[in-house]
Amino acid sequence: MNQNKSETLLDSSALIALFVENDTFHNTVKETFSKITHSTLLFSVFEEVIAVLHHRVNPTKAREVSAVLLNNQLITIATITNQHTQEINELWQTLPDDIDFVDASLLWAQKKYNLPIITFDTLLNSLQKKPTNSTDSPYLTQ
Amino acid sequence: MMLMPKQNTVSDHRMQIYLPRDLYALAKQKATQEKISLAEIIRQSLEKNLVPMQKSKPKNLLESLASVTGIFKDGPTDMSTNLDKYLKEIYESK
Repeated sequence: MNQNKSETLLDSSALIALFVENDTFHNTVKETFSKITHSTLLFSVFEEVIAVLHHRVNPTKAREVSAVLLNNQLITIATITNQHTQEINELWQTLPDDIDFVDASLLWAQKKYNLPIITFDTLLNSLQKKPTNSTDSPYLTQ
Repeated sequence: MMLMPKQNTVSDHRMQIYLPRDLYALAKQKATQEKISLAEIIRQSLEKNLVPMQKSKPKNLLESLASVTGIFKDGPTDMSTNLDKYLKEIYESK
C-alpha cells in the first residue's frame, strides 16, 4: 500500500452516502469530501460498494461509479498483500463479532498508516484510534 | 519558424519551434482556410489540448467525484448506515 499522499481511508458507508442522493448523510459527506484532497480506498471496500449498488440500486449506474472510482486522480486503490492478510486476520480475531473482515482491513490500515477512516458505521468509528489534538476532525458521526 | 504573439504584452513569451514539413503544411492550409495567422492556429491548437487538462484537475474529493455524486436518485435513505443489512439481503438472495 502506498500511503504517501493520502489523508484518509474511505469506508463503504461514506461512498454510499455520496452516491445515493436520498441517503440521510448525503449532504454531510459532501461537506466532508470537499475538504479532502487525497484518499485511499481498499480494493475490498471498492468491491463492497460496487456490489451493493449493482444488486440493490442500479447496475448500469454502478458501472459508471466503478469507472469513476478506478480512474480517479485523488483516490488510490490499495490492494492487500498476503503478508498483510495474515496481520489483518490476527487483528480480526480480537475484534467484536459485528466487525467483518473488510472492516478489520480498514482498522488495520488505519493503525498501520495512521489515517482516519471516513465512516458512518458507529461501531467501526468507535474502534478506530482517533487523534487527541485534532480540532478539525474528518471523522463522520451519526 | 517564428511564432509571433497575437498582441505583444509583458506576459507574452516569444519562441521558435521546428515543425515537421507535413504538419507545417497542414497548419498553413488551415490558417489560409480560416483567414488567420499561422501563429494563431498554433495557439488555438495548444489551448485546445492544454486548457481542458488544466480544468479537469479536481481540487478535492467532492469535485473529483462530481459526475457520480447523487447518481442514484431513488436509493434507500438508510443505505449508508445499514449497509450490512443490504449486503445480507444480497447474499441471501443468491
